[in-house]
Amino acid sequence: MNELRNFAAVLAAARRGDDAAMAVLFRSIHPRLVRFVRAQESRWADDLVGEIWMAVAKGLASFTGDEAAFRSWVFSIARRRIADHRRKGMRRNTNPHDPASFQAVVAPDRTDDTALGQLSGQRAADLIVANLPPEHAEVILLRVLADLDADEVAAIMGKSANWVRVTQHRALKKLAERIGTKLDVTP
Amino acid sequence: MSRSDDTQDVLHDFISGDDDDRLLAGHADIQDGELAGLASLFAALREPVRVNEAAGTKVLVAQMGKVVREGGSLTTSARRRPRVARLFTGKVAAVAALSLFSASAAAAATGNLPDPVQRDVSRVLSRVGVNVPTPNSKPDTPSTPTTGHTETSTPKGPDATGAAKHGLCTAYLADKANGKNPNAVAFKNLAQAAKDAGKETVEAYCAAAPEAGLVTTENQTKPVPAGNSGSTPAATAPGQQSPPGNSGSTPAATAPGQQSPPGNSGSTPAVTAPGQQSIPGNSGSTPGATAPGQVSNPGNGKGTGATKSSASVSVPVTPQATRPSASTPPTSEHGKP
Repeated sequence: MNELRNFAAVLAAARRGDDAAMAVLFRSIHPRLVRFVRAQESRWADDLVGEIWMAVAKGLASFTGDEAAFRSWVFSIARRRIADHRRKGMRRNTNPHDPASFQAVVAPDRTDDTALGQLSGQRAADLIVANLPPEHAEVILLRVLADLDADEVAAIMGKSANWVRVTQHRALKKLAERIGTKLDVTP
Repeated sequence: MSRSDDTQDVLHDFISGDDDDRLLAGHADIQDGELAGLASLFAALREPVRVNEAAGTKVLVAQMGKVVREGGSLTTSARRRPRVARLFTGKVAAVAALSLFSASAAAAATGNLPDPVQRDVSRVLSRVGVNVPTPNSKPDTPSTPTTGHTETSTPKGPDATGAAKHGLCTAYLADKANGKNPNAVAFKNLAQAAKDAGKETVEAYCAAAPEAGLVTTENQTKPVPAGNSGSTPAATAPGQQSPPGNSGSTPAATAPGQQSPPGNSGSTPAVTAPGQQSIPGNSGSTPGATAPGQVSNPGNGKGTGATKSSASVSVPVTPQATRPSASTPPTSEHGKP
């Protein structure tokens, strides 16, 4: 995040096609974006992330705003891409899934042996998605991974801020009941 | 208040609204057992990049920089296909529109649109200097087909003030005697000539016409109107008996000042008025347009008849009357008994 102290200058340079500035913007969001997409569409995550960044590059010239607005914009693009991908999958009426990916799916009832020290960012995201309804998981992921407040998440999801707050509270309660006490928090 | 809006109903005993924001914002001061577990979970979500997560990012960043430098144009195949499809669709639409416009323009230029549409198109295009015929100016359609002739000029008819005056008068009077209303182009010329000559009626104008057979064949050439068969029909005065035996190559009763264009087929069937007799021996291909009760003059080349184009022949066609009469001696192929 230190690279983005002067976000406006980095954004201006990236708009001119400067690769270094583009890399700074990329590094600031990419890891969390990958976790966000993989948690919801693990098989197609790499393709979707590539499409999302291409869409960002295409629309960069028309973007205006600060760093928080940039994160909100990128994750809103990601959310739309995932929705489009799912609609296409429903039209195809097929849902091919890599069998190997099942090994990485976190079983909701097998969290007792999960240690924080072994918990990667992606497994944490998968754990949240596996234990929450889709909309609840999406709210939590947008709040944490995209580092957005309730109003920004509400704008992305097309809901009211109050709905976001209620939903996030229910999601936290459910997470605490299911996995909160089972996580090994030993440093 | 709906259930989803009732936040107090779903609040957990040990998680307050403030705790929600602190947890999600990643504050590290949460020590409560269950909350600490959630805090650890969210901290893992925010952990820095791992090596496998950053794999291949250099290529992606380079591609992004290229897209930005090219003005936001995507080069991936997923985007190119719809663009090509849109371009193809646009070209098809353009070709279809051009074809429709061309067909409409051709129809308008040839006057083949319905009269109201043709009138509107003509009025609109005349304002921009394009001359399109109006419904009233469309050329008359020939009533009988012609072969071997492609000229399509408007029929003008014979000169009723010249040598054709007698023939026209003869045919006109014959039609009037049969109760018909002559409205052919030649008769219109005749009426106009009568008017120009100061006569009130065509009959008065025709009263001054010279007798048949006295008109000389002066070669005042004029092109024959389009649709003419090339073979000249003969118009003969009522009751007139014309001798057979003209030359087969001589057009029958060609009015002075008219010239049959070469290359016409001359295959138009004979047109003869009811009750008339057509004498064989005429040129095999020469039709005769004959007034009622007359005997068709096969054509002696002396201008005894008025030339009528096949498009303007108004005499009813009776094919039976063109057959040789039993009382009429047949003539040879060359017009000699």
